[in-house]
Amino acid sequence: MRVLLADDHALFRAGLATLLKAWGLDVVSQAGTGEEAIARARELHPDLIFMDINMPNLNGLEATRAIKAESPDVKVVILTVSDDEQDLFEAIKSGAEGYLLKNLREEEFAALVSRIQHGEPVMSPGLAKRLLHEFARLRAEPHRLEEEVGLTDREHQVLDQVARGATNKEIAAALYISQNTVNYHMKNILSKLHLRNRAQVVAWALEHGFARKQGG
Amino acid sequence: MPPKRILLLSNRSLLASGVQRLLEKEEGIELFTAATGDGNAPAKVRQWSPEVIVLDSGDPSMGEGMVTRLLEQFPGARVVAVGLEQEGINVYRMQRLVQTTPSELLAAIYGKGAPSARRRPRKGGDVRTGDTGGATMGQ
Repeated sequence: MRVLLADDHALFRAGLATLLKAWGLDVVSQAGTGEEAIARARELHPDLIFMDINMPNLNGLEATRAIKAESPDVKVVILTVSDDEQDLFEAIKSGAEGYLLKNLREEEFAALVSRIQHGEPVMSPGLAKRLLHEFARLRAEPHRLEEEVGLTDREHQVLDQVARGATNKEIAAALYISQNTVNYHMKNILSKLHLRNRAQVVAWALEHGFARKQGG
Repeated sequence: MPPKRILLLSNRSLLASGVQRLLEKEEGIELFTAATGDGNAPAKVRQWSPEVIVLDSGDPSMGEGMVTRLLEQFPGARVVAVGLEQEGINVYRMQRLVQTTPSELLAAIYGKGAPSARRRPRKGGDVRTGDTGGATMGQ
């Protein structure tokens, strides 16, 4: 398996390279920034990239998104000190095939590398549970969030339509209200959610389970 | 110049294991590796009589108390701690390296400015690693 290492911690990266080579993997290159990682990935088309998150000149999550957009078949496994849930969720959303913490023991890491080689996604113990919790929370919580944010029933209905991709004209037809009224509701929604534009509203609505729950 | 006696106190973290593999390849270093976590680090230092002790500052068993004990009991030894995180303990006389490179680690091990802080091609001499105990190497 041809591996690219992307990490700005040179000692950690060099040590990791030596470990992986000892286990028979082919470490084809190393990168110290997100930009370098993208360039090396483009040039060398590795099978697997171990990607740190916090790097100068483009972080690992942004680099992951760029690499997966160009070469979706390249496996990216995040290898980071961060157990921040937001980083974990962003990594999964960016297309990473795994999320590992650097505090793994050598033996644990060796077993995980073997699973990666067999095509399995990998996560440090405890993180998979957090991911499942968050997914369950997103599905269960739209109503609770609306109470916190103060969305009305009608605004909730508008958000549901927006999440499904409906235009204001389509929303008006679906809800038997005028387009002006839809505009009015959208303005209030933007204000209550502190968002700037429709695209952000769509993203927020999808993130908070709209469109999904009625669809089953 | 005789090789520098280095004891790596390792909890087999990725960082410590990587550092072990890197130091094993270095000419000019006689590397011993001992496991941490059993509270017996001082006994291992006594056993191997290193000039430099290298440890992972993220190792929970290598907190301020233990490091201070090592420095007090072995005043002739230097302690170099490598770490991944910015936060962490800083103990007087312990050199703490964060976000470091292999050559910076070697420079810390050999002592700043030492000309031997470089990698040389292996001449076939082995670097010993001893983590299963064995005869004391002598003072």
